Amino acid sequence: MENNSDIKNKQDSNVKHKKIDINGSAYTVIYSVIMVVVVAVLLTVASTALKPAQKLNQEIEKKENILKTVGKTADIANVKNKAEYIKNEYGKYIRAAATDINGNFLDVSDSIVFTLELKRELAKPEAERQLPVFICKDGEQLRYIFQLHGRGLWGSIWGYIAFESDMHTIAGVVFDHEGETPGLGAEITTEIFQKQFENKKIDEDNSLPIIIQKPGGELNSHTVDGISGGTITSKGVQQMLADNLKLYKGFITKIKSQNNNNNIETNDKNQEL
Amino acid sequence: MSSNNGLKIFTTPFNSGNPITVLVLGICSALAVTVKLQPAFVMAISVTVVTGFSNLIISFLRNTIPNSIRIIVQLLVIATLVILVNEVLKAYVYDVSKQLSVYVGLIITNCILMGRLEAFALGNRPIPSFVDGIANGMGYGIILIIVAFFRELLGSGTLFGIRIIPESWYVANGGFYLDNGLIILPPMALIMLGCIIWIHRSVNQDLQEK
Repeated sequence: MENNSDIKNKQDSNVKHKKIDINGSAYTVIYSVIMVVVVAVLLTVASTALKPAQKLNQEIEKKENILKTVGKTADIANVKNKAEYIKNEYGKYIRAAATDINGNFLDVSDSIVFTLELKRELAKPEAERQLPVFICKDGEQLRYIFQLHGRGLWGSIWGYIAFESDMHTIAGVVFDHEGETPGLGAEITTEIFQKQFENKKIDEDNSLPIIIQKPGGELNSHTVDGISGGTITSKGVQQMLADNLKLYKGFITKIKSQNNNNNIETNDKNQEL
Repeated sequence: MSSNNGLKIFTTPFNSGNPITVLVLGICSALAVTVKLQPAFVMAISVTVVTGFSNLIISFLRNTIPNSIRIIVQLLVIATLVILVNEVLKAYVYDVSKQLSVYVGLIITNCILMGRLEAFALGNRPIPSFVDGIANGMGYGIILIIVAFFRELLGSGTLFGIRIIPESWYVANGGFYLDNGLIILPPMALIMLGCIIWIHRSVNQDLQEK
């Protein structure tokens, strides 16, 4: 029906353009070269023009995730300019630092720490790793935020975890993923799942500091409910926490011993008084 | 015939020439992005933009394209447009582009695009081709949105992320209701699509083969 008239139209128009042989090799080659060059220029221009906006989006997302772990994005829904708000809050509370595997601070500037990716660091030999740590200072209260990176079912999963200053209690977590199944594994990004981690304690004696178990069982301070239908992703989160906390172990121990010293000092002072 | 009739070009894809329910093209993405309404909606707009403009461009070029590299030229145009759409989404609606992830890139492989270029844009003037592209994109989109509407409502109890089924009804909060987990999985989307085709064919009897 339609096709017949389409083909006829095509033939008509071909007749009009008889002058150049559009099916000749030379024409075809020149045609494809021009096509490719035009497309390449177009895409380069578009990519260059949109890069700053895309970079900014990623930066804001990262800052938002970091702030979320320490509960500093509670009133974000009421904010008009989200990007501006996040930038301000981040500047107000968060300081970035890098630590080596033994927990010693490295001399790296804030802006470089911000671009550190755990995934890339994990590929390096242990001694050269620079682990990003974000420190949230809210008045006297200090909280430490670590980056996480692991594997889900279909691809990478990553996130941030914040600890209270005792380095034992989880203040909050944020998870994100590359391509987990929507509605199942992808549920790790939901508030309901992430809220469970708040105020849980990490179990240093167990090889899995936090256990994600089948929903419905008894929960204690080291366990949270997994996601029905998202078992492999849940297990991935559990493993990610275990692996990454091992990386930060040096740092965690260091802060803990500092805390102890401070406590002893204050105790001494109290006794003197 | 139909190339003179703008209205018909526009309405056919919604009924007797619907890309999904009649031509059964673009099924893969229709199953993948319809878990929630928002990504389905953005996907619908993206596909509409790409079908519209690829039809327009190919129609402009139709008399100059060497026959031996016809398909490659078509693909080049489609791929360029898809990359542009993807970059724009990443720059301006970052959240949604994250949800759509690879499926925006996979618009390139959507059969509707090549189908329309081959069947229409190569033999028609630019304006009718553009209308045909837009209409086909919308015909595809409307099915996506219908499927996503039911999947999000029954599978997550929300619409566009806004809660429709009250929180207190859920078993977890002492109620009686549970979301249907099956609806979220792609097989259920296929069954739903089958039902839509069934309804479409029983309403429009012309579509039934004798």
